[in-house]
Amino acid sequence: MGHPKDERTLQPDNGAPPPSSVDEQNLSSASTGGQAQKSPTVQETIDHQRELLAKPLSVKLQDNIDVIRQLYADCSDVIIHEFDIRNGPAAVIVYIDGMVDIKDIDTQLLMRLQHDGTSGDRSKEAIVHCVTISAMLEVDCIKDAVDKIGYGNVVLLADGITSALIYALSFQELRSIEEPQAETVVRGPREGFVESLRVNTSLLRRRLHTPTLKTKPFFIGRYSKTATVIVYIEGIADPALVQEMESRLSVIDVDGMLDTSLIEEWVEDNPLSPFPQLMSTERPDVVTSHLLEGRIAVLADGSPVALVAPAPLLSMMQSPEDFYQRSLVATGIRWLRMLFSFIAVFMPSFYVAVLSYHQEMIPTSLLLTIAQSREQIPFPALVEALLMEITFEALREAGIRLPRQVGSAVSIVGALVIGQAAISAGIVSSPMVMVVAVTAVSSFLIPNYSLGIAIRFIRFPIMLCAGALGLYGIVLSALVVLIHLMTLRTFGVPYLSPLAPLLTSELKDTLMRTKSTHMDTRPHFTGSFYNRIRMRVDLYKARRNN
Amino acid sequence: MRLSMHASARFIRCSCVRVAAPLLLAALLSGCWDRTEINDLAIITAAGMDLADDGKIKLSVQLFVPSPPSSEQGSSTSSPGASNKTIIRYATGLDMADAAARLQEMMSRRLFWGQADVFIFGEKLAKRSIKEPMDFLTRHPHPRERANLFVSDGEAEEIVKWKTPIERNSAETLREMAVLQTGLNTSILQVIEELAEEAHTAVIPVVRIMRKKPEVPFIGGTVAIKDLRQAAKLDSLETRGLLWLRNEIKFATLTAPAYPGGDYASVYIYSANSKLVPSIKGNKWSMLVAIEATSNLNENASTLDITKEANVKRLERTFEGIIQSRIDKTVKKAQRSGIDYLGFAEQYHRHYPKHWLAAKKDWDTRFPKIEVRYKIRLTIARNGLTGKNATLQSGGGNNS
Repeated sequence: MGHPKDERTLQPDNGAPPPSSVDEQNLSSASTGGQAQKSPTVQETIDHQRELLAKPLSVKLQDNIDVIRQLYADCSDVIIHEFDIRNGPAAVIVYIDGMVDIKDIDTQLLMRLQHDGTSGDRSKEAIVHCVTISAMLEVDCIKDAVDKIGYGNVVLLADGITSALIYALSFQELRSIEEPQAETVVRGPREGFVESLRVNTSLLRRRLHTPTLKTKPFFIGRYSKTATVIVYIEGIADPALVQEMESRLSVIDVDGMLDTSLIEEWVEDNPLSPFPQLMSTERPDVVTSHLLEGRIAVLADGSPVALVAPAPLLSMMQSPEDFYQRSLVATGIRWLRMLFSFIAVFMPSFYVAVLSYHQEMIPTSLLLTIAQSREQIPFPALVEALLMEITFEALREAGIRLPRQVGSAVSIVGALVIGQAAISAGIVSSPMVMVVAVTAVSSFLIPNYSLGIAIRFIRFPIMLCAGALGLYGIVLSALVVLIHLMTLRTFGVPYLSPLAPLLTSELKDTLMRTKSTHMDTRPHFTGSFYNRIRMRVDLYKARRNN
Repeated sequence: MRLSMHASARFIRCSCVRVAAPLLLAALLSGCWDRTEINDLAIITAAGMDLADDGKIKLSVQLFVPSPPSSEQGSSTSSPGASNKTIIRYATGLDMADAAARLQEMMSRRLFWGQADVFIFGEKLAKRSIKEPMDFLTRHPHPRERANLFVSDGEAEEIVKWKTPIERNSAETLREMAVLQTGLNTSILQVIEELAEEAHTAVIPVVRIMRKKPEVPFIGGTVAIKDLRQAAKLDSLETRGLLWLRNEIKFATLTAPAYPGGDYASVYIYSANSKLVPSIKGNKWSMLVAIEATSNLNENASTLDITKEANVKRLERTFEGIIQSRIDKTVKKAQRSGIDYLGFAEQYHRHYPKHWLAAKKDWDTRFPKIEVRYKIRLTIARNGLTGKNATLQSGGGNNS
């Protein structure tokens, strides 16, 4: 798939699928559909579809109906309802069953047109006047009309009118707004995004009642046509950043965009890195606070996860809880988290290195105890560590994927595998079990799930280095990771900022969480400095003292 | 297009192989050449060096025998003490390294010096010279510089062999005793440093075994080393004097008659600070020993009423005298032997570098002539829970 430049130029809204990627789908439909006549080749089918879509709307209603019928051939869920407007022209409404509110169609649209009618007036305005639905739009080509139908709108075509009237009566069965399972807090809002883009933007809008909250739409995916929005606050977010995100999103050419995680892979700067370069969150309050800091967010229909950019490493070490707890406590918890993320990366490697190379580093009594428990173990420390860590990862994965009914069985067996049974079986030593347990716990202290996975992942190569070169290997691999982190950039912002490069004014919300009244300036990511003052604590104090 | 796709895929595959293959091979090749599993180590916890009859060095090491935890033994409930076994191995060699090599020949596991906390020189070896073992211990990368050094009162082997009922092994016992600071606590590093100082002397504590049953080793006395050879030997009391001079007294209990002819009283010193202040006036070299100590009254069986301030002052003076006499005894002994293991030389070197440079050569003759003066200040800060002595109190029923 090396050459995107021929005929597959970028047309996100273009329904006509390019030739190379639809082969199988259309082959099957063609072979089943056309039994009597000679089945058309894939190329013919696609050409035909394109031809139909490119047509403007005809004055003759019947022509339009024919085109739509051809396009929606073999679509059992598409309703094409023909009727006559009272004292008016013949008309048709097209919609997809299950995506629209049929009751509204009946009362607001059909009732009006068929009962009241337009009293002889055959013009478009009369029809518009007659229908009592506010969300209305006009399009004048087949392609646009079809796109709107696909999004659950009702399209009204009337004889003698060359534009289609689109009524937004879409209605979706939705999951209710729940607390996101992966990002729970004790104190703070319990709302989470759902799979509907509209609901998600409204959740943001409910927190930022301002017209400066912009939601720039995009449609990504030749077939899926996923509605995607860039959310930002005009006047706070760097326009260049918004533009950069726009330009990256608009050039995506893909058949289907099923989740924001796929968008992440397209737009991030270094796709091969294990570290996430966009922050993902299911919490509208998190997105809101990031918007206020000048970041931008990307939401897509069908995905409850918002992407936030730019996302330096340290911003992913923050938990929403930090901002809902008292600053001193939050700072302490943040340090705990940092400490344990180091433990998660280095603890097993350190254990392996010290046990295989630097036995003199261990306090004597501890070494003697370890020697005793390792006496019967047939494997070297490295093999033992790898065995246990891999087993733990397998158990963790199994715990997530298994059906709930089997889950308890797995946890019981897991406790046996990483526990006393493994020790008495003589496969691992008890200190190793301890190390694995501590590592396991500490890796879950990282609030960002993708970052947690990345950290769990990089500890395996570090373990190998520790097994081959001891502490020297750990230092070497830590340097490699550090250099990698230094080279990473997330939308132009160095990944380790504000630590490297050091921006002292922005340390207020990284290693510690200062009092929120002390975070009086916005962090600066890219572009010029503008609109930096977030609050006027001085005025507040002056007014209080009066 | 398909062709080019193919080509690019092949290119990617090729480059992947090119990167991955060396990495995989390297992982195999780098093969952990100096990796040692703990299972393959013979962990030495203590080592004793003695002089063998033929002038060779006899090395006796105490090895830790790791036995699997008793929980795995299943039904057999072995005694818990048996899990901490140590064994002793001996070897004789021309020097320390030779002895170690010979010892290794008899072992199925690699000798590991990194956890040896205690090294003991036999008395005979110390009298001849400890230069071979000291060189080995400092040159070899494994032995800890902070391991404790002892000179045994007899064969070092006996101490190494001794089985302790309390601690894990005799090495642990000795180390803990040294840490408690009843005697000196000397590490290899300290000895090297002291030997490098101006006087070229060092002090190493003596460990001896109480001959009565039960046989218990204890730290009593000190050996002064000059030119890596035992030059003088101090008993326990003289060692206390030495500790005062070296500012190594942390805790001490002093006992003396509360007044001449009276019953005994004791103070417990919990904070002590001593300082050597050298001075040169003309040709007269003198050393001021300045000591400040704070103590609690521990026991007072005499009729002295220590609720009176004057009496407390008297008691303080008495104990100051005790301290002074202890130190003086040590100083006199050192000056008699002409070997400066008190650290005077270093003080002159620091405070009077020019004088020192000139006097360095005949230090051994000058040292015995140095006048030592004392300025000792002992404070009795608290007199305990009771005021007067129990017999003086009206109730008198208090046994303690």
